[in-house]
Amino acid sequence: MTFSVAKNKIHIPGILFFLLATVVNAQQPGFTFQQAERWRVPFSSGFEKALYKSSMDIGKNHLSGILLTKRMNDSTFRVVFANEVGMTYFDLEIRKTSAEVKSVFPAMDRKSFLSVLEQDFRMIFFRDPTIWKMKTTKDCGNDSTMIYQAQSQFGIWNYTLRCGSLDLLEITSSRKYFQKTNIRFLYGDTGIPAEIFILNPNIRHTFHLTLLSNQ
Amino acid sequence: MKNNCFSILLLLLTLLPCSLNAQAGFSPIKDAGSFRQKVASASRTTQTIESSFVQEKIMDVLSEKITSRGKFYFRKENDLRWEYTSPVKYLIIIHNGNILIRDESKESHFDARSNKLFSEINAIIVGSVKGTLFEDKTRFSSAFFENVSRYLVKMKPISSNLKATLCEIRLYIDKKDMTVSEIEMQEISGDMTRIVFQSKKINTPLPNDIFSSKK
Repeated sequence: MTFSVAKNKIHIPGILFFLLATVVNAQQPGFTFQQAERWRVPFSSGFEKALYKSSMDIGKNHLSGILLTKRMNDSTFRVVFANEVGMTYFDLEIRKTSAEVKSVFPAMDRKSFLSVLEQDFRMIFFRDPTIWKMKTTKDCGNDSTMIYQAQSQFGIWNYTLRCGSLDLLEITSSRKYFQKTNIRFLYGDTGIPAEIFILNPNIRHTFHLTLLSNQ
Repeated sequence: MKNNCFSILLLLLTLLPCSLNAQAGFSPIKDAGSFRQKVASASRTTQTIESSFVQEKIMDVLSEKITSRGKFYFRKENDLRWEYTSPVKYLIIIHNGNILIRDESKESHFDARSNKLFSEINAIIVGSVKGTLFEDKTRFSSAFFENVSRYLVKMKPISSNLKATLCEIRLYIDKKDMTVSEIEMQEISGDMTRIVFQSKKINTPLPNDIFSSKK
């Protein structure tokens, strides 16, 4: 096996980058993914599909309609929001760490808006697989809720859980200089959220979903 | 050459969703002039239409269908009440050039004459219901077909606004009363919305308050 000096020079930065990336992504001592596994994701493995009555405000614009969410496989969900007359506002494919816009109404085809939506739905459907550090910021104690703070490649997020059932009640971004994204879940007796409230104050966006059916 | 072939393939793939829903059993109308006269004549004698409707948004890729139901009322010249009753409540009233849209959380009023978008919506909804939309040559290019019981008008949008979302609108007109029995809207995304009118009543008196937001 012989390598030329020139070839070795080319590989050195690559090796350094690889080592650096490994260090940056290393989980913090004491952190185990069992911690992240402790909360119940709102749309757990038995979930197939659901229809939500939906109302969205973005800036001064108000949109209403029906949102269909469907599990395509273990790692993919589809989210289709259409108005009452049937025209599709957006159709997104959400995966654990990425997303794809299948179709979008021309007036909503804005990268900033779509990337926020994709992030919101990723947080709703999946346990963030890129979490590398977690700490408990509020214990159950005598209260009914507890809060985990998690750091991942998507930033720092606070997860509020119901003590006992470990239902996920709220996800809030933890940012110093930006207003906080907030996602809240209300549960009924179907096992999936009966209502979801999404608030993205940075883009003046609110999205309210009310469950119609999950058949 | 390779690039050209690739471009043609892309173009064909883009057009595919628009051509998948070819209507079987319909053949081109030989005398389009006579058909136009019949529709114009029926439109002149039709004072009111009252009907129920069933709407299906068909998403082939997801193998899903969202079914909505409602009632609709039309009174000559341009009064319309289009009301969804399930799975969500949603109301559109067009009266004296004003458009009211009411969903479950908000009521909005627009002047159809002063707003280009709503003027277009007004023209398309009323034109679809009256069956005269195909005469609007500024918005659509039309082709005419028939089978034993119905006429079919396929309309392709001309304006860039409509083209960005719709491939085609198809109006099915009953031969026995020359009123629209079905509307299909084929979206660029491949989704299709079908509205079927049921229990139609023609020229029965409709009270004024049907077209009032208070009812």
